[in-house]
Amino acid sequence: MLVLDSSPIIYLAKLRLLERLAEIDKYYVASSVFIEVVEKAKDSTESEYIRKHLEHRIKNPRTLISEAYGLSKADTDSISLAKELSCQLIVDEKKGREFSSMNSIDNHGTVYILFQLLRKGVITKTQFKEYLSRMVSEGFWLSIKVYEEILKSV
Amino acid sequence: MTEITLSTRVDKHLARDIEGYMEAEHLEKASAVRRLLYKSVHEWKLQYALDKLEKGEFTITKASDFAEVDVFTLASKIKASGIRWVDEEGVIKDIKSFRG
Repeated sequence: MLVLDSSPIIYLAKLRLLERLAEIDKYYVASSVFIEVVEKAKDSTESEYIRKHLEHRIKNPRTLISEAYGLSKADTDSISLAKELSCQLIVDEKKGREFSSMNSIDNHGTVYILFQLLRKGVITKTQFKEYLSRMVSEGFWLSIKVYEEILKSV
Repeated sequence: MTEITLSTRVDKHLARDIEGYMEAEHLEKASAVRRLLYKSVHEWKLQYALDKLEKGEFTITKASDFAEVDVFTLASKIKASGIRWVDEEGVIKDIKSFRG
């Protein structure tokens, strides 16, 4: 079971992979994250696609961790929800990963989702490479060294 | 919205540029200065948010809240600026986890 923060939603939506993720794992989003990626982003080409795949996956954390500098309410809600559900948090920014680790939450990034889709046979190696390339071309920055390490792993 | 008055002195060169802007945009002075201020503050907020994101001090939603843009507008600015915002140590951890 996973909780998705905003960054994986943005890039998985650009790749149209949210429905493929549902084939391998249950995932949820905090309502404040839904507001950020759908309600406040109505003009984006991705918002309707995201609404369709996320509107039945919204959960609100019952207990909230304290807010921290550099994190939005959406981030702290995602961390709180992952803690409450005892599940993995998917987040890509250093601030988000550090803060979830500090709260003893198992965290991974969007690349981990691509790895899981490959491992479970939902996508092929060729598709993995195409998705990774598209993600980077959409602004998901990776150094050449790390990019090559990822490719060597598959 | 409550408005307040701001007064400032500018050098002759900047004053000439503002007059040029007023002429080109057919604006009177107050509107011209107001529009330029809005634009530059908006641009500063966006750049500041991108810098903080790149330094690992803001997340995407924190940056978009600060810059007062939606996350997809911010994502397009991230793409255009090519900033290094992904936590690569985290990615390396994910690679190791996949390799087992």
